[in-house]
Amino acid sequence: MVKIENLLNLLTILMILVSLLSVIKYVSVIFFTLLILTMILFLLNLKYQFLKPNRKILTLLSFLVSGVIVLKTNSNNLVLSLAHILIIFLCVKLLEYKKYRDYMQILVLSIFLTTASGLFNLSMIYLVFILLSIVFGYFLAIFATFYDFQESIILNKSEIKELIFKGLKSIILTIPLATLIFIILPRTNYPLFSSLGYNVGSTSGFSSEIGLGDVNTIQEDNRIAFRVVMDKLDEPLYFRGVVFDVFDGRKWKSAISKKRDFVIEINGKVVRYEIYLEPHYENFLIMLDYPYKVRIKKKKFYFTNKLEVRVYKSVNKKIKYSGESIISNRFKDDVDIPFYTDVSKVSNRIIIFAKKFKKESNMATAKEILNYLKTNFEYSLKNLPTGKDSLSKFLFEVKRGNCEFFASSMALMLRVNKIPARLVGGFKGGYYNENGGYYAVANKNAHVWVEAFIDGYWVRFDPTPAAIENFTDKNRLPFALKMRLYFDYISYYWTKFVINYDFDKQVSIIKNVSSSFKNIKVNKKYFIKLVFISIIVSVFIYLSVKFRKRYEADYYLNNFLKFLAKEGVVIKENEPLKNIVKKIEDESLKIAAEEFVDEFYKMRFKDNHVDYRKLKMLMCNIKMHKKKT
Amino acid sequence: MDKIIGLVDRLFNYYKKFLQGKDLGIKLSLIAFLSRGHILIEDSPGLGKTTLAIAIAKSMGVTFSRIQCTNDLLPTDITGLNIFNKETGEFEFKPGPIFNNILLVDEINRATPKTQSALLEAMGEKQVTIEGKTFKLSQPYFVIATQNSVESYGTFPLPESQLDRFIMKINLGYPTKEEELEILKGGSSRSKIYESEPAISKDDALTLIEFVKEKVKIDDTILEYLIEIVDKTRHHSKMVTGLSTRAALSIVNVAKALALINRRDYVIPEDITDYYKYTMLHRITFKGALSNEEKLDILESIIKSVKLPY
Repeated sequence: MVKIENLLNLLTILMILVSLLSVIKYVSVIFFTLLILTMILFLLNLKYQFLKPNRKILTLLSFLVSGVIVLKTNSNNLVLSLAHILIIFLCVKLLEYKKYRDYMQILVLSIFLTTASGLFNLSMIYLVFILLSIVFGYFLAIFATFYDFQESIILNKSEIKELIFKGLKSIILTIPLATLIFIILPRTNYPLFSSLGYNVGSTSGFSSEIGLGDVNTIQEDNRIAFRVVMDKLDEPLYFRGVVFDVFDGRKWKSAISKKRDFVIEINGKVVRYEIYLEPHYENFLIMLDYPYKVRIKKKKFYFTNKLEVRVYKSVNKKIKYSGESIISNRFKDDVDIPFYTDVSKVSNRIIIFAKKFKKESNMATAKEILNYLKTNFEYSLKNLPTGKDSLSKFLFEVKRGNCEFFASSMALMLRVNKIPARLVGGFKGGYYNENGGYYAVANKNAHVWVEAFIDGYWVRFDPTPAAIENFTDKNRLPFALKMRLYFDYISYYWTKFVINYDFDKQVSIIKNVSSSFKNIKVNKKYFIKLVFISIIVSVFIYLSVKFRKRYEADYYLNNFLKFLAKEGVVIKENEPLKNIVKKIEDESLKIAAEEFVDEFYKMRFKDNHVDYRKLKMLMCNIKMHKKKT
Repeated sequence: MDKIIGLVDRLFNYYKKFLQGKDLGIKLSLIAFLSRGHILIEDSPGLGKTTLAIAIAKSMGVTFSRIQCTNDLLPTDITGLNIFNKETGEFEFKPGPIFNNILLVDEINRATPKTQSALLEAMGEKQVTIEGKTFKLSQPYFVIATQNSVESYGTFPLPESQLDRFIMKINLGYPTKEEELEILKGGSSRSKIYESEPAISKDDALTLIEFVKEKVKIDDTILEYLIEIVDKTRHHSKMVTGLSTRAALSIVNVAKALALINRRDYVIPEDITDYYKYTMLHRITFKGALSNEEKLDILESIIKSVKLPY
């Protein structure tokens, strides 16, 4: 036995919790705490009834707070302010004395809040939240209607089961309709919130600057940065992002790059792939080293003279593009030697130290430096040297650091020895998902390596020693990470689906459907067969539904009552059958009806088994009688 | 089942022969008898209540007696008492009229509350205790009590708790003109009844009672239906007290007996609702002074508001 009110309150709390969870990452802590406190207050109040707030004052208060929020709103935090206002209204609604309309308002507010979460970030979890919201909201609406009808309704287990079962049925029934709408409804190609100027900040593994020793949490970030659909390759993969060529003593920066107007010359294996990139709010694309061809819809791009792929608008939604690259460790290019050997901001100590590595050839020098760094230094993400001269600290004192230190050191030491050098920021490795056939590359795979210009080629050098935990090795992955990767597989399909789905796709689906219809028309035999089969199937479905109906006693009883009503017998609500039969004026009809009623009662209340054939026969008797007279 | 129905048929043939124009009264009395209850008839004198009681007793070959209540009637006048026997030198129990199978208690509301309660206690317990000795009443045991309408002088109205002991309270009223004509034509049939042969034996009567008790099936859905009605009377705005659990139980018993009289061995919803007038009304206390018709209207609206169990 459950009081409907308790059910209603439970659903309300669940509903609000779901909506709050959906936006928890984005809303301010104050509002979050406020709502949680209000919920606790609400629950306590249910039990002890100590609060009887004035509706008018509460409403006034909520408008005041909303007003303050609105004043602070600008085009950048529009959605956030909306979420905050929704939370305030939810708090107020929770405190008010509960009536039908309050429950419905809470329902609507919660759904709005959950929907707002979709404007922050359209990841797959949104689907879960919105589905939960719909289910909870649906039942909330049902129970609120009951509540409105009579506040003290008490439901027993079987009644609740029935309600839930029926409710779920109708929710499931909406799925085909929703699918249809999903295909038909037009959709925008631009994300709404980015056009509102909303920016949640970079989530990618690196930015357009590399500051040495800045605390770098990104390399412990397991979130997926992008996925690459391609065949599995045995060699380590370098994904090129952006090239850093200016060192100012503390930071590496990227000089303004020009469009590349000639084709590069690379020898090696050609690899074709497709990349699903999570938004990183930068204006370059991640490509497998070395890229030579890119295809992307609705975005203009160009190859830079540093072999980056840049786009004009920053990547602020999930995008998909395909590319072709050549796997190699060098490519032929021209070079501006003074620019790439600039060491004006490097400390003397390093310059003196670097000169010791000078060998007879540039290649030998580079190998010497590489070897020195790889053998004498340790890889670490903790206690990195910071401050003004962090590179010296790294080279001469700590001898421990992350890839940025290794790469910076090597590039600068090369430059000291008059070898043109620069850093390349990107990603290294990635876990190959055999089921999905793609590489999942996480933010922690972010990497920086060195390119040195030797004998007319830019050659890749990676001075960073291998990290202890290697994301690429499946067998050494902790269980949680394995689960994560497994879920990533699902997430990948979601991404693929959302990204690939746009207006063009809708048109092409409709085109496909219509063209396949055309094909059928051409092949008449096939068409006739198909129509024939579908008619048979639909008739079968119709009959089985109807047939099943005939196995319900209600079907015959309703028929019986309908027939009597047609004969002019007045039937009142909840009138026992025998009383109805007594009212029949036609004697022989009365006898036939009596027989039916007796038999129905006997089946229903004695045998507990309904003999449908007998009922049908008796019903026929009644109808036959009518025909005779 | 056929045998049982045969017995019922024989009874009804008997009544048809000797009692004209009392169909409803007989039916209700018989239902009360079969459902192991007692009946209270509220009517003016001279409408054939005694004849009814005698006919029922005679038709089953059981003993019958009658008590005329007055305000000086003592409990021992009903139950019997111990009398000193000079010859044996011991007290001897002399059973009162209560030790008959069918007891007609006339004008029960003229007896003092003390006597009433002695009688009603016996009805409920089906046994009498006199000076520490317990005597079982004979089986079957059936009381037909009559009472004058409430307005009469010198009466002690039965309290609700005592009324609840009667499975039915009926008000037959005057017979219709046609029925009365039949009665007048036939003359008083009482002497004929006294001379008649019983239609069934006492054992047959017990078989019928046993059958109603054990064999008539009542589906759970009907019980739920009844509970729904009972529940509504308990929460109705115009009622002070609704139906008790004993009342619900009596209604079930009546329904079963009614089912048998209609030649069925299973209860249908109509068995519950058809005689609600007689089974429910006297057990409910209404707020304010309402006429019988108004009370019936309220009760009817309650029954109509409950969804039938099919």
